[in-house]
Amino acid sequence: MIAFLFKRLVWGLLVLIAVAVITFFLSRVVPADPAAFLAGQNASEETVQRIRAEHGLDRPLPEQFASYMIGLAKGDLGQSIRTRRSVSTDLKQYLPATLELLTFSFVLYLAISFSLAVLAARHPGGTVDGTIRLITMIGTGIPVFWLGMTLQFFFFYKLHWLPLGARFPIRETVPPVVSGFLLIDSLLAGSLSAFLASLKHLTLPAATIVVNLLAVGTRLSRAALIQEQSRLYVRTARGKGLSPNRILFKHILRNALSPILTATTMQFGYMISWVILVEVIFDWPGIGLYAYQSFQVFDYSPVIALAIVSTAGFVIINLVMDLLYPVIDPRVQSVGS
Amino acid sequence: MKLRNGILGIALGLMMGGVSYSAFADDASTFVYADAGEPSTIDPAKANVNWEFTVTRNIYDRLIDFDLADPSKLLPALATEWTQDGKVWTFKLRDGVTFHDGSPFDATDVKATLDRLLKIGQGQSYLVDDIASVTVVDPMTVKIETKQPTVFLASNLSRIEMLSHVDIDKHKDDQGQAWFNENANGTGPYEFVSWTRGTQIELKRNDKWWGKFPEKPFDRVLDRFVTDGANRARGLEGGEFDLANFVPLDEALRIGTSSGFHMVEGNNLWAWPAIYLNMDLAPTNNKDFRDALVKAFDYNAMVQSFQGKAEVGRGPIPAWFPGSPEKEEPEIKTDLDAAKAALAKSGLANAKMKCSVPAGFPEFRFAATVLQSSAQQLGVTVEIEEQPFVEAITAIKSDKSNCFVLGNANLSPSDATKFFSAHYLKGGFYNSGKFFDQTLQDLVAKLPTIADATERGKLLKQAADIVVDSHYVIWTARPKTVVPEPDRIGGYRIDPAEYINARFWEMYSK
Repeated sequence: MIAFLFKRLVWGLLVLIAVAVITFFLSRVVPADPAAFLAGQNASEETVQRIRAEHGLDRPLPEQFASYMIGLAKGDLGQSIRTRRSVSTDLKQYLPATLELLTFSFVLYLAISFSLAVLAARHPGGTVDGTIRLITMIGTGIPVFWLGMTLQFFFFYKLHWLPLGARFPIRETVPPVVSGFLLIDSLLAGSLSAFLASLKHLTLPAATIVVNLLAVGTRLSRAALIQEQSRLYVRTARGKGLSPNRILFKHILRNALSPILTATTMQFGYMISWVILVEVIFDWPGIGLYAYQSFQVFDYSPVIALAIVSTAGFVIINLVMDLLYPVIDPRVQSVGS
Repeated sequence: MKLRNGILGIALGLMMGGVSYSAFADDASTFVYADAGEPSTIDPAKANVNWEFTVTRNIYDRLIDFDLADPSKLLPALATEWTQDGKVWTFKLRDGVTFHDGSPFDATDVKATLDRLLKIGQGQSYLVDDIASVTVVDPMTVKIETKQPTVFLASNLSRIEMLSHVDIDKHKDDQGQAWFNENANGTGPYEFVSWTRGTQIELKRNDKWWGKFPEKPFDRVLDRFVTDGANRARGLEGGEFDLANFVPLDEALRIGTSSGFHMVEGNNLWAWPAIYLNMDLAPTNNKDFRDALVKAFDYNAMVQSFQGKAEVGRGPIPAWFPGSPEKEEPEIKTDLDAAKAALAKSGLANAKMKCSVPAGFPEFRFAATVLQSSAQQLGVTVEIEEQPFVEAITAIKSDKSNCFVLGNANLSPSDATKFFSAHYLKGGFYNSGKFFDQTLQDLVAKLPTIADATERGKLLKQAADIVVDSHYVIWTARPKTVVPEPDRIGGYRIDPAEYINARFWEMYSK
């Protein structure tokens, strides 16, 4: 197990280095001039040159690369030209909002997709199955930005049920930061009203993400459940007179979980990439919005750092899933060993 | 077990923490402004875009203000009197003014601010880069000497915000760049409270301000960063925001004429957008070819796209700008026959050109599309490439594109020479198509030295004519700025030299 973990960690590290190298050179290929942005439109050429030198942008590319990688090895993600702060400081500020949105969406996605899959798998090809398939396919077919704006239009503009965007009601005071997750911090501050307000603000961005992912997750979970339902051990269980719920939760689920987990891991990857769009639409102050604003001015360091962070997130999730497989299904462990 | 403990901990917090924290306070005097972006800095020496000015303009004061209705009329602010004697200007300062930290404002602050601004050389420093030296005469008097006599110094100082010399001295290692980037201590109507990255900047009213607030001013201002124009419009209409900038025109017109809102209209745009043609790259390096494009352009389509809230410019300087020669200029209009004649004269047939359009501005894209269809009538193919701003301007500057679409506004209330320097003189940042004319260079250098307004007007007309005759720019439209304001709010005025900015100290609730 330790050897397996070590091997996966080394692979993960290599992936991160490859991402850093590729993103570094890709960002430099673009004919942009961040120093000109920093100097401001009316600055003289001398000022722009001075800023270029201050940020090492006048140095040869291999030298810039070596300097960046040495810094990276020391945990220095560089300086943001746009925010004029270290990227690490920015990430500390922006990351909790994204993690809260991702976690909330992920839990919501798991709960809804699994429930729908169970419903659909009870009578494959039936009305319920067909309806679920149709609705989830429509959800997936709608572009994320359009879905987000449509939800805003109905639930904020027309019905006044949910807020337009942001993490917390604008005119109110945000609870003291403890975890960075407003749902938790509201409770820690003892305010149920703040908790509910945070929940309301999470609803539309999370719904936008979840609706788009639902079809694939539901279909794959449904297929895994149906496949397991046809196995002999299920027939035996039925024959023994076990209740359908007991058969599902005690027997089928554990065996069907491996393919479901694989699909879920893939979906989490999509979730990370879609969070950029969703955060822009809902003015959600997370790393997605930070990435969008950094891309616009070719702020190199945050762009590379964000590629590394999101890859790291994906690598970690994959690693966790790899470790979970043997726990869920002992056959995986025996094959691995 | 751990999970259960966690839940218990949260429940305990829920019971105990409620005493010290209240999210939902009575907040009637809070003003929420939806700004189109987040500042990169709040250092007045570097502030360069609209959403940075929003913050600095309300925290800091300037030596001089100007009448928004007549920008040539200067008004006292931190300076109460000023005189010019050749290259030397003398300013008498307002007595009894204090910074938000309580320290007094005097001539040392003016000197420290201007010295620092010119040393950093960013932001609005170009407006006062004619300054040679600043001398403290006494605590309430400061002398500024310029490199050559300039009549525009006082007017341009109305864009320069005054910092405390104590703050500058305290952080002099890096010229205060790190500190002023995210901290502020001004003498202005609002004090800086906090900056929540990605979300908002909070200000509170400075009740010791020397100026006058309206009867029901706002005690607290939240400057929210709302990047999406549709969200700003929807939030304004839905009551989340009290005011928003850069609301898309169709939304602004709809909201401004709907129940519970009124429309505030004004001028601040010189051209929106202007299309710059590359003087060095074929086929736009051919003057007759450029002339053909200017004449073929469908100006009516642009005016219609602004739903009538626009006119066609006759040159670079709008009629409402002090000393503008616009009224004497001939009309610029679509003339397809003349365009075809100009194209024939150019000797270019079936030409192809590329146009770089900064992304995020629907009007820019539309103008490029109008150019594309107008040019098509001449047999000219225009390829449009929408790119981020920096990439788009780099494309034309490095001769990878023939044209560049840009909005024009002048940040000086009455000095056109700074605009000309940035847009039409050699090395100007916005002179993306690399226009050069020695006579224009000389005229722009001479203009500030002319004391007589009539004489200055003549030279300004000559300068404008040179740009018009070169066919370097297509001024596609000059729209009015329209801002929908809720009926429950009052006091918003459009600043002709600051795009679409809010002077929070003039805003009040009804």
